[in-house]
Amino acid sequence: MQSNKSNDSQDHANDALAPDASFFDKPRNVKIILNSFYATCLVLVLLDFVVHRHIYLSFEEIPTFYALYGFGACVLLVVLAKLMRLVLMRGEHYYDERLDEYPQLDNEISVNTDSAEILPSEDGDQNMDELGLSSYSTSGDKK
Amino acid sequence: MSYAIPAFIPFFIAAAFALVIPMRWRYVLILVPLINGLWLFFNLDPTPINMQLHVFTLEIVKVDKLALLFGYLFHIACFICLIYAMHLKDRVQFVAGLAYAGSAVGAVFAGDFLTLFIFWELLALTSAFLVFARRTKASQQAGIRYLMVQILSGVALLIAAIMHYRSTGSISIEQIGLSGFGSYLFLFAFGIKAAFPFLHTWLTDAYPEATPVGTVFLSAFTTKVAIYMLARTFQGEETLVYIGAAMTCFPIFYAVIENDLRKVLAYSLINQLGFMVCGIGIGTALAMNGAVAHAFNDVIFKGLLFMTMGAVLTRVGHVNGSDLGGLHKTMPKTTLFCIVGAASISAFPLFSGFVSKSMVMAAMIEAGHDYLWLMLLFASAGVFHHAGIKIPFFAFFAHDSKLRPKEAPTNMLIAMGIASVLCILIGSFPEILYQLLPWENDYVPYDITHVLTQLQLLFFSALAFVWLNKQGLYPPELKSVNLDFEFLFRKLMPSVGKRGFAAMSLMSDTFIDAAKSGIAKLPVMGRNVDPSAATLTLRMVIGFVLLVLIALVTELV
Repeated sequence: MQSNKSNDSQDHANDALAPDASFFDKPRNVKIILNSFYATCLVLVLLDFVVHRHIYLSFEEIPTFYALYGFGACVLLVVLAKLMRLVLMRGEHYYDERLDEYPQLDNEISVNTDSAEILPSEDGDQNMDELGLSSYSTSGDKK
Repeated sequence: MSYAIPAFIPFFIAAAFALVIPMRWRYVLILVPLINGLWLFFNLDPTPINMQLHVFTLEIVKVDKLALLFGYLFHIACFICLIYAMHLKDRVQFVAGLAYAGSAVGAVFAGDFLTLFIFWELLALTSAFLVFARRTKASQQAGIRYLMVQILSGVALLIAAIMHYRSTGSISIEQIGLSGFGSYLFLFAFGIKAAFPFLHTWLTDAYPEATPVGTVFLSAFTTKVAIYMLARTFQGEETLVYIGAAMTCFPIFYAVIENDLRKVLAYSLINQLGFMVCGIGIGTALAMNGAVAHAFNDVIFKGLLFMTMGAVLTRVGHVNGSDLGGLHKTMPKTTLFCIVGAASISAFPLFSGFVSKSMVMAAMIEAGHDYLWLMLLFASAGVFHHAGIKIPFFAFFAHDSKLRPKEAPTNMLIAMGIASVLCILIGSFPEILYQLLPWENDYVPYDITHVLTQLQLLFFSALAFVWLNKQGLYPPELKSVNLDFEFLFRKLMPSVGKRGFAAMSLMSDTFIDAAKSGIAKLPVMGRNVDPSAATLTLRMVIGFVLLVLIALVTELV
C-alpha cells in the first residue's frame, strides 16, 4: 500500500499483457499526469508574484502563503495522524466480533450463519460459491 | 392556490402507502418529493397552520425564507435518495426513508418547541431503521446505541422546552442565546444531533453500519435539522465559533488513518458541520448565509460521496480502503461522480463547496478571528487531503485489488448524476443558490485573489500527498479500529462497571460473612450459654441505647 501511483504502474508494466490494463496502468501516462501537475503547481506559485492579491490579514503578506500553508498543513496532518495511530489503533474486531459480515476477502473468518455450518477451508472462494455469495452482494440491501 | 396542507403530510402518507403496496409499484414514490417540492417552490406564500392544544398554540407550519430553503433542500435530498434506492425491494428502507424525510421537513417548518420535539423524536426513531436494515449483528447494536443517544437528545430538548416555557411563558421557537441552565440544555440537545465534539460518536458509529441507501438518507437530514435549529436559536453565540473550529479540525486526523471509507466520510461530515457551526457562531448576515448555503451544498456533495461509496459497497461488499483499488477499470462512471463529489467538498473553483465555504471563511476574517481562521484553513487543506484525494484514490486507483465489480446499477448512476450536475451548477452559477438565501447577500465568490489562493492551497495539499506517497511516508491503510471518545462508553465504562460490581459484591459478601460470624459470637440467652455473659451483653445494649437517647434529647433541648 505504500507504493504510489507510479511505482504501482511499474508493477503492472511487468505483466503488461493484462487485458484490462487501463489508461492509468501505463507508466508513461502517469508520468505525464504527474509532470503536468508539477507544472501547474509551479505556475500557481509564479502567478503569486504577478497577480496582486488582496491582503486582509498579516499572515497573507508572506509570499505564496497559501501554497506553503497547504503543503505544511497536510504534512503536519499526516505526521500527527501517524503518531495518533501509535496510541489509538486497535484490532479490527476490538468492539465487535463482526462475524456475520461476509465476505472477508482474505478468508480469515468462516461464514457464521445459522443455517449452514461452514468451516474455514483453504479454498475460501468455494465456500462463497456454496452460499451464493460469490458476487459479494451481502451488503444488506435485499435485492 | 394556497398551500393548505402541511408539507410533511405527503411524506407520511407515502410511507404508509409504501407499507402496503406491492414493491413493483415503488417507482411511484419518487413522485412524492418531486411534486410536493415543486408545489412548495411555486407556491410562494404557504399558509401558516396553527392548532390549539389545551393552553398551547401549536404552530405546525411556520414559514420564512430560512425554513423554505431547508424545505427545498430536504425535498431535493429525498428525491435523489429515492432514485438511488430504486434497485431495492426492501420495504423497510422505503418506509423508514420516507418517514424520515417527512420528519425532517416537519421539523424545519415547526414553529414551536412542542411540535419540534415530536418531529425530533420521529427523526431518531425512523432513521434508526435505516441502520437496522443492514441486518448484521454489528448494525443492530450500532442502531441501538444510535437510538439511545438520539432519544437522549430528545429528552434534553423536552426538558429544556419545559424550562423555557416556565421562564418565558412561550413555546415558540426564537433566539435563545446562552444564559441559564435551560439554554445550555437546548445547546446540549442540538449539539448531540449536530455532532459537537464528544457528542459526535453516534455519527461515526452508526453511519458506516447503515445500508448503502440508508447512509445517504442519514447524511442528509439529522445533522442539517440540528444546524437549522442552531441557526434559529443560537445565532451569533460566540461559544459556537470555538466549538465549530474544534469540529473542523479534530475529525480530519481520524479521517486520515481510518480504513472504512464510509467512516472517513462520516468524520469529514463532522468537519463540514464545523464550518456551519462557526458561521452560526459569528452570526453576521454573511456568516449565516455561508452557514446555511454550506449546509445546502453539503447535503448534495456529501450525499454524492456517500452514494459512490454505497455503490462500491453494493458491488464489492465492503468499503475497506485496504482491500480496494483499481475499481476505475470497471466502474468508470462511479469514479467520475466520486471525483466530482471530491472536488466539491474540497471547494475547487466551479464546484459547489467553493461558493459557500468561502463565505464562512470571509466572515471569520471580518469578525477578527485570525487564529481560528488559520484553523479553518488547516481544515480546508485537510478535507481535500482525506475526502478529496484519499477517497477516490484508494477506492478507484492506487494499487490494483484485482476486484472487477460491475458498474453501479442504473438508478444509482442517475441519482449520482443528478447530484453531480447540481454540484457543478451551483458551483458555476452561485446565483441560483444565493437568491434563496434568507439574509441580505452581496458576496462575490469569484475574484482573482480568491481563486488563486484557493488553487494554491489545494494544489499544494495535493503535492504534499504525492510527496508523502513517493517517500513512503503516507500511512498505509490498515484494518483497524481507532479509539475515539466512544471508547469511554463502549469499553471503559462497561469494564470498570463490571469490575466495580465484582468488587462491590465481594465487599458485600465479606461484610455479610464478617457480620454473621460476629453476631454468632455474641452470647445470647439460651441453653448451654453462660447466663452472666448474655446478661452483660443485654445490659450493654440497653446502656448504649439510653446514651444515644440522652444525647439526642440534650441536642434538641
